Amino acid sequence: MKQAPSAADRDLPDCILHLPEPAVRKLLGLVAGEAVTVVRGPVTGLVMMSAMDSHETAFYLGEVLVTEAEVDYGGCRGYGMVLGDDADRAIARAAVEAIGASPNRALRERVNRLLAAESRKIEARRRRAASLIAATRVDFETMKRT
Amino acid sequence: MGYVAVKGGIDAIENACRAFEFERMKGSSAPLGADQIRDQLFLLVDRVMSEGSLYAPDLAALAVRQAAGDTLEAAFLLRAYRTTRPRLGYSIPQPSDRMRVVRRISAAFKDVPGGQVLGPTNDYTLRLLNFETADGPRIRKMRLVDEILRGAASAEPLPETFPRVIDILRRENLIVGTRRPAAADAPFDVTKDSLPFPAPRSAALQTLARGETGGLLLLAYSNMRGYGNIHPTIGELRVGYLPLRVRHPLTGEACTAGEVKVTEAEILAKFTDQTDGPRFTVGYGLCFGHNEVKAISMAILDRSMQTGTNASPSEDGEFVLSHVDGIESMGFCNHWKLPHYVDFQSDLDRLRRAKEIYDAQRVDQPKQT
Amino acid sequence: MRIPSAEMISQRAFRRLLQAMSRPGRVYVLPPAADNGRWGPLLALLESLLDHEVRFAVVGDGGPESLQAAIWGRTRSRVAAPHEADFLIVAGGDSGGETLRARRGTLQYPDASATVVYRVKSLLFAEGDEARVSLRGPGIREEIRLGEIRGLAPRELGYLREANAEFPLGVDAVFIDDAGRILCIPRSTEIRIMEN
Repeated sequence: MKQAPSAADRDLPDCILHLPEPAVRKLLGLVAGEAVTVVRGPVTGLVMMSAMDSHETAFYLGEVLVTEAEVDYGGCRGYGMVLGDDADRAIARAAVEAIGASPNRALRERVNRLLAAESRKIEARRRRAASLIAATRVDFETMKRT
Repeated sequence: MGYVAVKGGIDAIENACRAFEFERMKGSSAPLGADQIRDQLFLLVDRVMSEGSLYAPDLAALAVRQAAGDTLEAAFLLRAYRTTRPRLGYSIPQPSDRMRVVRRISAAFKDVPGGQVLGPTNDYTLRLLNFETADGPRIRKMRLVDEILRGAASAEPLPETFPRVIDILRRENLIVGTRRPAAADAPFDVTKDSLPFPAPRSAALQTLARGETGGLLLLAYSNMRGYGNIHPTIGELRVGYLPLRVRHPLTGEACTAGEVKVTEAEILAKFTDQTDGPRFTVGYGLCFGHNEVKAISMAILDRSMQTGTNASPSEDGEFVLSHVDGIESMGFCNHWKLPHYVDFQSDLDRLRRAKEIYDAQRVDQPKQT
Repeated sequence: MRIPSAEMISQRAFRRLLQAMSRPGRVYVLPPAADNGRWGPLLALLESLLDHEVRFAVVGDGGPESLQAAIWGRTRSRVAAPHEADFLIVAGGDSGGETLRARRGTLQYPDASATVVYRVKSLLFAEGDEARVSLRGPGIREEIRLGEIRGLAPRELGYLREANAEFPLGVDAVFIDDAGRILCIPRSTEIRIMEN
């Protein structure tokens, strides 16, 4: 039976895209004992990135290397695509989605706790880097004639 | 062109490969990690990704190391690698106001919505060589990074999105709209079909995006210097990260696979539209990675190819688009090294014969005093 | 670089198919597929041919609904009407005439045509089998005669003959049985049905 994830939980899986490698392994370790089976992939391939110019003409910017995988957890399907040649991360992404849709509340909460903690660390790093960029915003003074 | 297949030289070839590896590794310096190249020579990696037309920083770093820094060779390695991977799909195009901006400047207006953000740039450094032979041990590198981050603690955060500068001009009806292709048309894909001339706009933009930076710069520069008529102002230059969004195969909803670093440039050039009075035209450039010279050159060429006259090379769409691909151009240049023995033998024979005739004629000439 | 075994199997299957196409009328065996589920060898073959850039259609008996879902699940290829498909999968050896309506290409782009994949009962031929069809053409030294292809509806070879009457327009046919044997008849092969 599928469960709809809460609004806050919905964004958590995306943080897997930015997790450092040890955290991805920790996440996979969490689900290691569970009946998560990979049903497709992991496949490393290309996605052609579409872009739009300032007149909304679509064009192809170039190809991006990605890895995708699909998993099944007790009848719930999950899909994950991540950048780069990264089978573990793709499987982790898919697994989190499948678990998120499953009725196994205890596992869902364990996964979400790990993701929330990692997400906070990622956010903190992001904020510090962003404030460095923000400090490069120019405060102009036009040269006035006196 | 007559190529003759030659045999032999297997041993010499193998030794040549070994000799190249030797050149790369013979110094007493520490072996180079691909991660060091990826992190610390990031602009080089960005350039190779954009010219190889494959966004894969780890692979680009490997390619740079393997090619001993030759950017054309490294881009070639990426293009070759790309042919071994299946294409899994196409992303959903993202307008650039979805960009996570790290740099955003305009030369056209002082005050722009969201402000001018200089971002990570060495534009303002004095070009003085720093003679420190090494960045120092890892621990010093980490301490420096921490120091820099701490110094920026209290700046006011940037807005989530930056509206386009040219929208200001658009609202005053000062921008010429380029002809938009019918909504049903998928973008042209130069990786699947050969480029027709005149090229559809999507094909031109894709070709420029894959173009070699030096070649694009040369053509754009020629236009700036007068072999052409564009007097550009940079309306907006952005460096940032665009999300890569694809359709979830099961739900059909959009999902994010990550973010891709891009540079985007829009230039404004005056253009008198006969029907509607004077307006600005926009030249547009977008490429993988942080590469401002490339994006600006792309935008200038985009605009110059729209001129419609072929008065100068940069205005001739066929000329520009046929010559900007780095792998094509370096490949053709390199092919001259292949044996052309038969061709040249026939050239030599003809030359000798012509010289015989010439010498014979000179003998017959009465001597001039 | 790590090459997943599924990819290696797919590459080998494709190679084998290329060989079979170049030597029409000869039986080749696909490398064993990892899973030998209900549609085992057929899916392994299709996995090396189909992706999201091409369209396929399943016709004939043999539970086309579940086969269509299985193909989509493995390849993410797009479903189309039989006369528009790039790949026509005849699940039970009887196309019901769809082979005649399959895309044959144009003179400018003869490759804009369909490949018809017939799933048959058996591609095992015995010495004493009565010859039913004669094949001649590129890749065949003089002539190859085949006995009855068990599980293939008798009209199908006639359909192929008709579809390929205006070479280079036409369709290319692949026959596969559940043991993973394949046999190909490309459009360049002259098919002569032997009357008995």
